[in-house]
Amino acid sequence: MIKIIWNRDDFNKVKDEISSQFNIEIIDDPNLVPDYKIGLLLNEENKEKIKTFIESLMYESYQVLFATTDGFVQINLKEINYFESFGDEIHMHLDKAQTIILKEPLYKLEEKLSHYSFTRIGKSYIVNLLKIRFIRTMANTKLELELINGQYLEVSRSFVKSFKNALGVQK
Amino acid sequence: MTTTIWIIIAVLSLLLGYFLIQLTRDIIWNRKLNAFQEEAGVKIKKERTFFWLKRSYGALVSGVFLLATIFSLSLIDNEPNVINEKIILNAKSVHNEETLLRLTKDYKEGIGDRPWFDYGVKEDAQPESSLPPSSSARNDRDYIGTTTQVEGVDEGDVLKTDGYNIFYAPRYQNQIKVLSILDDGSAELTSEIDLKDTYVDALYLTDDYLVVIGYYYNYYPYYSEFAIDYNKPALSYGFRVVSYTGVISVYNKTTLELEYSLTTDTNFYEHRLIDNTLFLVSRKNTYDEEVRPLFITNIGATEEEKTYLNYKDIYHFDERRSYSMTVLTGLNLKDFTRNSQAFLGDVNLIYANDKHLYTTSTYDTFSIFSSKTKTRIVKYELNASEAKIKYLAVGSVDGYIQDSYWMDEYDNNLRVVTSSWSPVKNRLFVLKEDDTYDKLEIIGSITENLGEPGETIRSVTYHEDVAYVVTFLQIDPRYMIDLSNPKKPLILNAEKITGYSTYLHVWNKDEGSTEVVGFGYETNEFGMTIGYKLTAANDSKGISADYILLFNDKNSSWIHTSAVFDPKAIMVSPEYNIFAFPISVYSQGIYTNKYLVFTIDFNKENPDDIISEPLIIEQNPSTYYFPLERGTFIEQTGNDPFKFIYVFSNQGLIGYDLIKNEIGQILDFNN
Repeated sequence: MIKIIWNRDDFNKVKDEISSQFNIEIIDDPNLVPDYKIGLLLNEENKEKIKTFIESLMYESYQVLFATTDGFVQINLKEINYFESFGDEIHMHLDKAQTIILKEPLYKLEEKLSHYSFTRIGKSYIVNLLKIRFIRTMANTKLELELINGQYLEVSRSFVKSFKNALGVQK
Repeated sequence: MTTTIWIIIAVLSLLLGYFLIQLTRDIIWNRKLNAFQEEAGVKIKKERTFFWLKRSYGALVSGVFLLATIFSLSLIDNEPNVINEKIILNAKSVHNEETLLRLTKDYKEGIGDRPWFDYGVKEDAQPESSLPPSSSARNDRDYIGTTTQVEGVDEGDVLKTDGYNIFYAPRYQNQIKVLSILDDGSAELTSEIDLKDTYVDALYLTDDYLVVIGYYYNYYPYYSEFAIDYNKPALSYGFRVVSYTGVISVYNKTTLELEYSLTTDTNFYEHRLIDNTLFLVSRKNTYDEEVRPLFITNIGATEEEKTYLNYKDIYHFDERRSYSMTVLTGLNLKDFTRNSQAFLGDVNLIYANDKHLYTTSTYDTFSIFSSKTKTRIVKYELNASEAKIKYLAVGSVDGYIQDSYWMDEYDNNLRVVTSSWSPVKNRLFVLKEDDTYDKLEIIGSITENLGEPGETIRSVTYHEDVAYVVTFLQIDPRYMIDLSNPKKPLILNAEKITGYSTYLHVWNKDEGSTEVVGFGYETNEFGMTIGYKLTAANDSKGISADYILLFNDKNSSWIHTSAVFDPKAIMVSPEYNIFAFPISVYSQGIYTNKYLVFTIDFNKENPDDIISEPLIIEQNPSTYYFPLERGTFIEQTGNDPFKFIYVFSNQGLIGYDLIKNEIGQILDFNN
């Protein structure tokens, strides 16, 4: 059995969804868990599934602070499509065609986002792997990425290997 | 298949390979991306079908084109893959007009092999023969027929006889004299066939028919380049011959009525008669607007039928382009059924026996530093009973073949002598047809020591497994070659005498001994021709005799005979010990035409007596040149025996009575 302790408010947001997918036992006895928490018990076989589910929830909720020319801005990672360096400026492209200019250099962003689903694909680009719709191979061993917003980015040859690593194609 | 098609297939294959590899990589990449995104718990809406359709578009299109190309090629080229139970690698049907035009109209000189244009433009075949001519008995009459290369395969000539009638076509007179030989041996001019514009190339006789092979010219006017209206003949300033039209007219031998005619849009270049089937070889230029050979037939009173040869019956050799095609036709003279096929490529010479036909064409191959003369030989099967010709095999040899007598088939092997220039080199090849594929393969050869340095070949003759080759520069080495082992031909000896023979005839062959009669030129020690020479030799027994006619003797200033280049001008029969030919003597403005009849008897004890002094049948001298063209011999046995030699010029006939040893008749065609 797997035991999960969760914030009661957070759980309530996804209670219906999680109940429909998993056979869980909810523990809300104040003697066993604090008031603002809730306990979940589920079978071992659901371990991988619930892990993915929880990661998905985490991705939905990850927020990172970025330094802009006007101060700091907190952005949900799931809203970011890609970063682009444009001269001295770094453009952060978000959903709904929104762009924010950042003060942080690209290499720092790369380092900052390395634990998330972001990877460098060229001298000027960092892409969110979870925003790619399709990958197209090209004649000169480059790759072309079609993003969900319809934009196209190119993975230059020297970054194909790191792109593979990021996707887990090649370790 | 053309290089272009190979390039197209190669490019399409490369494209298909590239697109397939790209598609595979796309699949791998996107599967990894999906796995990654699923692991992260992200689901992205993707229109996969449309994406993969687009990504596989290149592979699909190139694959479809590749398949279509291969499929259409298989439709075009899969027939005939097997002919005569043989896998055909070289000859393929053109099948359609497009292919035929590509292989003919687009032909450019200087690209690829260059054929020899001047070869094969010939009146008649050249020297020597190996076997007795077609001498056949009919009832109580016998005669000496046309000198042929192969026994049983008749060759056309301007004079033909069956012992009872003589049909003679004087050169360029477009008519045939029909003479009946009466029981006293005298000849009676019974009829003349007027051929109008048709020139006679050759005559053939069967039991029922007289076959006339002729041709007429198609003249077209030249028009002045300043002419405004090209249709006005007044502006023309001459005519030119654009093409030949070949005509075969078959007359009833008794009634002389025309029963069948066949016209084609080219001339019938070569022909042979086997039993009652005429095999015709035409040579059609492909410059004409209509490339397919045309045949117009007319049987009896029926309306003429005009047909073009089907594309499927026109073959090409491995996409080899050509400015001409060889058209082969078998015509059954019993029921007039006809079969034709055409093969792209030239024909210079033919050799035919009763089973096979060989056509040759000489061409030069060019490389950066040198050129090489080669000859292509194509072998066909002849089916005389069905009048059919089937392609069998093709091969090539180094050098050129100058005369059909340089070829011979024995035991299904073709033996051929070739020569080449710069440097002069003579060779002998033995070619065998491959059992599985349509190839003629060289199984034996002599490539060295056939002729002294600089010596060219002058005549060749074969008799079973022996070949005689005469080469010449200053003296005449006559090489005797043992061909009993076709894989290892062997030069046995080389008899060296002055002069050289252009015609060799194997008179008789006993065990280990061969009697050969040759006719050609006599030369002095410097190699200069000084006269004509008839020789009779048995090299094995060391016997040699000759008779020399000097160009310049006391009574004449000039002697000429067509027998040195036209074996049909020679009447030869070992059976009757006769060797005869015409000569023309020019002296002080007067031509005297003579027919020399030699008796050759190898049994004479004194070698000098082997060749007799000639019997001379002489035409009245004239200030005009009316050469004696042909002679024939007819003998009747029984109650009213006679033995006559009839000699012909376009002026008339002289009948020489061999029993009375005097001129028995002079018939003037002009009276």
